[in-house]
Amino acid sequence: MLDWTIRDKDEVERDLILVDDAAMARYASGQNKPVIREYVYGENYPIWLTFARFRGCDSRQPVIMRGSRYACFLRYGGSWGGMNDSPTHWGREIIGRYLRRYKFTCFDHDEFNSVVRPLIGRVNAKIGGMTRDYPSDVVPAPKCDPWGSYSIWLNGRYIGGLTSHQRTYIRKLWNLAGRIEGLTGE
Amino acid sequence: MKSTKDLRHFLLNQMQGIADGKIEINSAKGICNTAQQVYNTLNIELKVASARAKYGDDLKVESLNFDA
Repeated sequence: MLDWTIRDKDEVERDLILVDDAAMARYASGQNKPVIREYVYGENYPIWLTFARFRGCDSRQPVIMRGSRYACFLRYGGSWGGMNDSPTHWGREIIGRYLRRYKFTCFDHDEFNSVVRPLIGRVNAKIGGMTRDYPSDVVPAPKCDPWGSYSIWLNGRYIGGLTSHQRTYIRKLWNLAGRIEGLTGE
Repeated sequence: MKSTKDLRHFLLNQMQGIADGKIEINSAKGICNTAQQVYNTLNIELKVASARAKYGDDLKVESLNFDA
């Protein structure tokens, strides 16, 4: 059973480990075992491990935090449809095979952002998903309700009730805009 | 639309249009596909520019043989 409640900020900082979605996909595809990397952190919150790309690491690889007791799997799909159930299974497989000593849970990115970000209280404690801050002067950053689940907002409007197709193409456009931004630095 | 900034404005406006129900799903799909192609082209151009910066303007990229 998924049995994990984040009780306080200290617990998150001390005990959280994360496995990002690509690891589960890689594992499920049978290509190789998940790449587990200890993150060596200094004065920053451990949660910074989730932004490995800013430290020159490969953000597609899962990052495991040293000294952790809890694992959080960030799965593909989630509220945006597709592969909703199997990542949980993959998470169990990975935990069972490589991380036996951990309790774990499985969030999608939006859930994670809405739960963990308020605890950490840092803007950059966000990982993908539609709830990430988008530094655009065009559309105010989507946001999520603290502690909410699947609460997706776009430009001040709740869009969680849209059809899966609408959400799919909104997400694709969002990602494309973000990639273009990443390429050009605009 | 003359720049990537314009393209981003366009894409983000389309997002809002989809959310508002003003853009049909098939149109949204087409916009996504076309935008993806533009992105791919942009990505390739940047890679070529990067390679030229690294290896010089004499760099020549041979065409690929699909039969191989």
